[in-house]
Amino acid sequence: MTCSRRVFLAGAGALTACGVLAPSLLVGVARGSDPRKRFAMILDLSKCRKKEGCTACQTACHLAHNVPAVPDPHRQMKWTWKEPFEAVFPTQVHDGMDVATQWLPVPVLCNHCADAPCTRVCPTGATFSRPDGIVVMDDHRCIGCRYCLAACPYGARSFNFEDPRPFLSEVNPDYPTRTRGVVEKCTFCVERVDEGGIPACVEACPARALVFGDVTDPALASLLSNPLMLRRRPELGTKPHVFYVL
Amino acid sequence: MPETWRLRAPWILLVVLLVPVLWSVGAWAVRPKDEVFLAKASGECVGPPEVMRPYHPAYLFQERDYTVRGTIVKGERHVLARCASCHTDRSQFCDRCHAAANVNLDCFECHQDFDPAENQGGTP
Repeated sequence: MTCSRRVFLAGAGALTACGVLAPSLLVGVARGSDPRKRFAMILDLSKCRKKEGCTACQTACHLAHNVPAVPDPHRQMKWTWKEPFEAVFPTQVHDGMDVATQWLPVPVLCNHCADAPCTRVCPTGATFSRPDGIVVMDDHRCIGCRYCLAACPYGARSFNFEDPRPFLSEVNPDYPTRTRGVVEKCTFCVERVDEGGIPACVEACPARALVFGDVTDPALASLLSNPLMLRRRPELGTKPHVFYVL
Repeated sequence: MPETWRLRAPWILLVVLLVPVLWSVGAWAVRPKDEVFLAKASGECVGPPEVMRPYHPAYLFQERDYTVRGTIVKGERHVLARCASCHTDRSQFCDRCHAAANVNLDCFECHQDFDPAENQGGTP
């Protein structure tokens, strides 16, 4: 059988095209989060500060996700909690700022960075960014190396130093617990978001200070157009998707 | 004397190497042949038993990867919570067969069968 140069080149070209196109076709078929969306959260601190001492977001989150209440402060498990303003925004504090604002408790959680350092360092791909921007954990693949804890500049991750089950007083039967030796963090409540819901903290906030949504949604986009929107440590280039309004 | 040992040495070595092989063959021959009786499920299974018996781990792992790394869709066919809705007695169903087959799994460290008060109930 003879094969002319023209036929050979055409065949080789067709094979290359198949090789390049096949993965994109597979992605189209495979189930996944909606890549046209990009989820983000806005925290309005002016509304939040009206409810002094409120921990509704933390309580709701930790109840919904079976986060254990470990008494040892060095081994505490936290998905969302409050930190003083000056610890959350160290570069925003200045001499003229009133003390009340400097010490204002600010709710903090995983920032679901667009360029998340935790996903870069994870050696097993256990933590990854979904196409809709939510950074999630696959605890089945977590080997407990804690590179992600070291990489996260916001301290948003917690490590299970021991079996978390003895530290649970109440259990949400719709969510799994974790085991010793894995890392966990806020997941923007993917299990609710995938069913069209909103995160537990947003739902629980009595002051309606938390807004969750898709940045391509005009309602959220108009809120985000506020020029006074703060992000945690923007100088690091992680592009956090949790925004704060003072 | 050294000459005879030189002739015997390979045979001794052969016997020493064969001992573990024969040991495991013997253990296999005298293995308990009792059938493992598993608790009957209350509902109808998502697949025939001859398929589910060998392939249930593969189904569960595939569904797990879809769920965790794709989009969470509740009510899928091969999810642990759905198994547990019919096979309610884990100790008489899952654990018995896994013990007989000498399989150690860690699914239940996080999923299913946990209640802070009595260690029953469950998480999916």
